[in-house]
Amino acid sequence: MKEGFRQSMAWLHTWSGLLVGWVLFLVFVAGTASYFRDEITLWMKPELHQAQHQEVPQDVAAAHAVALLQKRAADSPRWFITLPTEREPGVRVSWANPPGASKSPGGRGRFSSAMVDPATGEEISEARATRGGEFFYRLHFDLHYMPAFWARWIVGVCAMFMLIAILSGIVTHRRIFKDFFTFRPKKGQRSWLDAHNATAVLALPFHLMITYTGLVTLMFMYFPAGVQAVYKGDQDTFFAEAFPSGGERNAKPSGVAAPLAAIEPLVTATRAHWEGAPVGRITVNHPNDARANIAITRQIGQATPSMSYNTPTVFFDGASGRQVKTIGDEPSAASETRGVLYGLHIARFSSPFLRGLFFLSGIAGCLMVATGVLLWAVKERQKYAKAVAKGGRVGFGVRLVDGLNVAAIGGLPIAFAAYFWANRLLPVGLEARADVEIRCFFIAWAVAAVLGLAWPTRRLWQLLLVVGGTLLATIPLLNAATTATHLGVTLPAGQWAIAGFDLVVCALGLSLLWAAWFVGRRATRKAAAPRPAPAVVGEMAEGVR
Amino acid sequence: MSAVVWAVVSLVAAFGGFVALSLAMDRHHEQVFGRGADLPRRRRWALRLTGTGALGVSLAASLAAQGPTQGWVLWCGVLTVAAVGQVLALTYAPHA
Repeated sequence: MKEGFRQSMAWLHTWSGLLVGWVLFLVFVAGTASYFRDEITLWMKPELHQAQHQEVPQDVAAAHAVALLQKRAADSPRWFITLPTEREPGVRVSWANPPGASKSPGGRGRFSSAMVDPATGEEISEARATRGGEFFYRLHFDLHYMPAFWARWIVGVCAMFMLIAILSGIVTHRRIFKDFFTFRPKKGQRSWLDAHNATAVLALPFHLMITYTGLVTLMFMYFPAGVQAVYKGDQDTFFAEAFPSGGERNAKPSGVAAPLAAIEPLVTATRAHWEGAPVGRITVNHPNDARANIAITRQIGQATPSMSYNTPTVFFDGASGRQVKTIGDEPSAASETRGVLYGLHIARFSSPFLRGLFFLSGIAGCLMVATGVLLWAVKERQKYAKAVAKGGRVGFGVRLVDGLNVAAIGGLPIAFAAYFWANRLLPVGLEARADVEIRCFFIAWAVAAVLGLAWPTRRLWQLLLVVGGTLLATIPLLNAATTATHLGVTLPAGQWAIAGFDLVVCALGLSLLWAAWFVGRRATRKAAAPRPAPAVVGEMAEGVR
Repeated sequence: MSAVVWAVVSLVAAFGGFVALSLAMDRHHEQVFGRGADLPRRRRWALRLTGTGALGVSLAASLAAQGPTQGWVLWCGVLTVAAVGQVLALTYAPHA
């Protein structure tokens, strides 16, 4: 090695971070939003805002769901019932449409779903069609407009680069403890480096955890060799044995009709078996057949103290209601290790307070990535300072990075805002409404990205930040104009999920506006006292979302 | 006490701990008490001990809030937010 170890690590840190920085920014922002995916979905379905949150015994709620499914889908091969949680007030039921009713190309029967009021058993009136927070969750690892297989590989490669960037960054950062509390504003490159270091070091446990566990969530895809060697390529059998929470879905129906056993005693027995832990999901295979089977899965959430994403399950015979077997009561160490790592990534176990901390750490991650790619441009630009002073141009690399920075960091908030605005402004009965909302997200982003790549200037930064900031900061007004559940109603009523969305999005919008103001102030100061090579991206502190 | 109260106690203790630990460093001591303000050895060690102790209290409160497994996760989050708070306070809070 010609250079020292630390220098080569610095090189590795720079390039592993820069090459995938823009994809990582998208993954970080979408992932951070996904912590509140239930709340985002609720906000985006204002028809459900009035639904009163009430405590209904789980066996009653399950019985109501079964009654509705018997009415709507008695001949379906499979039912799913998701019982209410503290974050989702309704019972979600879905069912596989019977074969022959409608065939889609992949051979997979389509699914239908409905929401049920747990107290009355009435179907809750159809909410507007939207993917809600589910879109961000999928965007986080499936991206969009491409097969999930390739998207997951792209995200996986980027996550691996991220892990390398974090580890090499720790080695590179010599003054990790001396500069622990240091932020020196208004000092150009120094300030960018301080902001990058602070967001990286102070949230380091989170960054390391989230990147590593992110890779773990898709480990069977990235490291298939072990499973293939043991199961001879039969992945389906592996998943059925390793994660059997879906019940005996391969069991063939007998064709002999038999009434389904009552669900209430099964729910009660299951909860007793788990010492009171709540039920999450109920799967019924071949309902109303003599060979029907029922799988009841434990809830993952605040009410269960475990962090693991593995769910213990109790199996019943559907016709007799006899308990067949239980799984997951004493999981193996390997399975539980993966389950806890997976659970840490998804953070479904967390209380609202802890969820807020995860969200803030996620924002620190977004800022770390953003300041990292901006820092590269600020540093690299200085190499061209003399040339630019003589009227020359910066190199292609700097210009490209500048353009991508504006496109990704300046454009993404606008895309998020456009998605929320579209949710409220598009007609409720619009054809393929959920897809149009998503199209609005990408069109808004595409416009911002084209502008950014074409004119990566300080003025454009300011414009995009103002547009994104204004659209986000006025979300509470939009909500007030289009629904009856604005802040004046939700705050006194203590509907924190809805009020919280309004307030958090507004705060994020205001911080973008502050960043825009900061960029503008630097611009006027530089124009008043022209100095050589004003950095285009400028020193707008750490407020870039 | 309820879990949220313990979590807030943990956050406050962590913030206090980081205030003490940062004041035990020359750069930040100067920032707060003005250039040339003396930081005697005994005071430095007192600040370090207080800071470390407060972080320990914060850990205990986190474990009380969220239990012996999730409590560690909570503590990591609390440390992050408290440290960011102290960085911003050192930079932007008015001082001598």
